[in-house]
Amino acid sequence: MRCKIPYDAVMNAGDTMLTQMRKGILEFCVLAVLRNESTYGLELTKALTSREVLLSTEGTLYPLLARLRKQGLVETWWKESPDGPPRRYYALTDEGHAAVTTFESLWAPFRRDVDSILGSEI
Amino acid sequence: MPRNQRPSTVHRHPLVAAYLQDLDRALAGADDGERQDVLASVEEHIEEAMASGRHQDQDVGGVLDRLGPVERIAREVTARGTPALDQATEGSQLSGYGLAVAAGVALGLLVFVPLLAVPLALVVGVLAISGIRERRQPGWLYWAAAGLSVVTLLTAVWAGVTLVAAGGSEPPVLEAPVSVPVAE
Repeated sequence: MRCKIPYDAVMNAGDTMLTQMRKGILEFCVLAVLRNESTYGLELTKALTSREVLLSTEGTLYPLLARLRKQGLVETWWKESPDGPPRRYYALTDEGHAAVTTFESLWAPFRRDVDSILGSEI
Repeated sequence: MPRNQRPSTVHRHPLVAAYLQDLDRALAGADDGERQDVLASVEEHIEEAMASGRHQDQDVGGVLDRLGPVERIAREVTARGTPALDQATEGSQLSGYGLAVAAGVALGLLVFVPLLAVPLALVVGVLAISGIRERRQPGWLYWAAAGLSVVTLLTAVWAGVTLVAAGGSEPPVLEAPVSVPVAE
């Protein structure tokens, strides 16, 4: 089930916080999805919106993808679709693979630290 | 980009055309390559979503709502969503309330100062419709403002027609001096 964070509510503290937290993390989630399988935009948005808090407005994914491509972490090509016009597929470059690996190695200790601080473990 | 050569049918839907136009406008400040990239991929997303017929995606309004307001997408391109810019969303919500209130004021003024009420309702109506087109939230406020403006304008037209019809039986005080020089 998709769960949408409503942008139409007045931007409350929780939304602002979530927006801040997504920064710097969402792009690696996109890269991580593409590490498993190269895919096209709509499928990619579905992979992200099926999670609870990662992506609230699907449209914001496309500027992010454009930026990742500009940075050389993602590449695109055209693939014939069985039903309809060709699709723009996104795939990781070698640099993209390296970036996810680095993120992954940092994420575990990062999450541990945050959890431990929240749980007041010293 | 061979993207531009792809046959496209969704443009024919006025909501999609308006959304893409608004997005194009919102991306005015962005780097040209990025702007083309974002526009093309958002357009493709809409086409795919509407063609796929899964997840109730055939509904244009639903597809565009899930994409989100064009300002949000543009903000992601130009500023990567800084906190200062997030507050702009609140501004647009305030303007939704403001518009709805202004529409109510216009309707109220109609009885007392119709000459002020009609232009006010026109302005509010145009702003509300552009708000609806840009999918600003909360949408119902923009719809309410647009509805009230339409009611105000229709009432004004009805009142005008009624007055003219009522005045028609009396001797045309204003027309007489005008028609005389024209006849000469």
